[in-house]
Amino acid sequence: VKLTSSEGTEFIIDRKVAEKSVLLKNMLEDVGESDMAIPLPNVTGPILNKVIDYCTHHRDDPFVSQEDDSKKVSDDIDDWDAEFCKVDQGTLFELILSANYLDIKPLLDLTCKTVANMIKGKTPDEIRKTFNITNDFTPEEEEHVRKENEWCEER
Amino acid sequence: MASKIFAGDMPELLENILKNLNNDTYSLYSCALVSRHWCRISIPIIWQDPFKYVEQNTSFISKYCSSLDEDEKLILKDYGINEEFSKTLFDYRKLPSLQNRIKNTSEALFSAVFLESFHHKLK
Repeated sequence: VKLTSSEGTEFIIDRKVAEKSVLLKNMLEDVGESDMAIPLPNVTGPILNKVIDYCTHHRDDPFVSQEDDSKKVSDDIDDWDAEFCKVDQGTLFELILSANYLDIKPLLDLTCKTVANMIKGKTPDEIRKTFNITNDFTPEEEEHVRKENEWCEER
Repeated sequence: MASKIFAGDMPELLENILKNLNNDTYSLYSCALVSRHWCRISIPIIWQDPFKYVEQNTSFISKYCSSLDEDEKLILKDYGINEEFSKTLFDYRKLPSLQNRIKNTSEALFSAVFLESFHHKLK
């Protein structure tokens, strides 16, 4: 299967690897075998490279269907995956967006977990600083949210 | 500039991230105070199942009761509970995440309110 990244770089990968992406799997089923490259205008070359690394490493994993969200935990990442996620914040966010676009659920879950681990134990201000987020609450709203939810901190 | 992951047009991504913290209420409480968008995503996760902790903590109940309608308030009065509940920013009782768990609101509510008044008497 041939893929082209946003800047036009061509990648050739096994069909099995490509099928880790539900988007590509459906496309391949629709068009059948073809020599035409599939353009991925939303994914840059370096990111596509990372995504292919991931899909190649996990090519033989069984396909997981929707898991129960309430059972989600953020500390079940294996060594290879943890190493894979040791990238700068910008790359990590690009990976999330690409995994979402290409519909690769295990990669999306892994990268989201990694971000969740960056949030863990931080104060609101530390979270804003880490991700460059502006506080758009009015002081009154902020006080309301604080008071109405402080019970969850007490237990 | 913050990544567009954290902007309002892709709420499902932030939701996917924060759902990993569903047993870590300290972090979720922090998330709810980051910004309006973060707040909207965190609150339903925090309020997913507050009754699970009702034995340790009942102070969420008055927030939960703030949106009771008149009929429901009357039922409480029948049980001798005359408390006025102040208006809250969110209508916590109507959060879909919470409504999924609590099939029978009044039942949950009354056992909870009883527990709370019970705790008060003990103090």
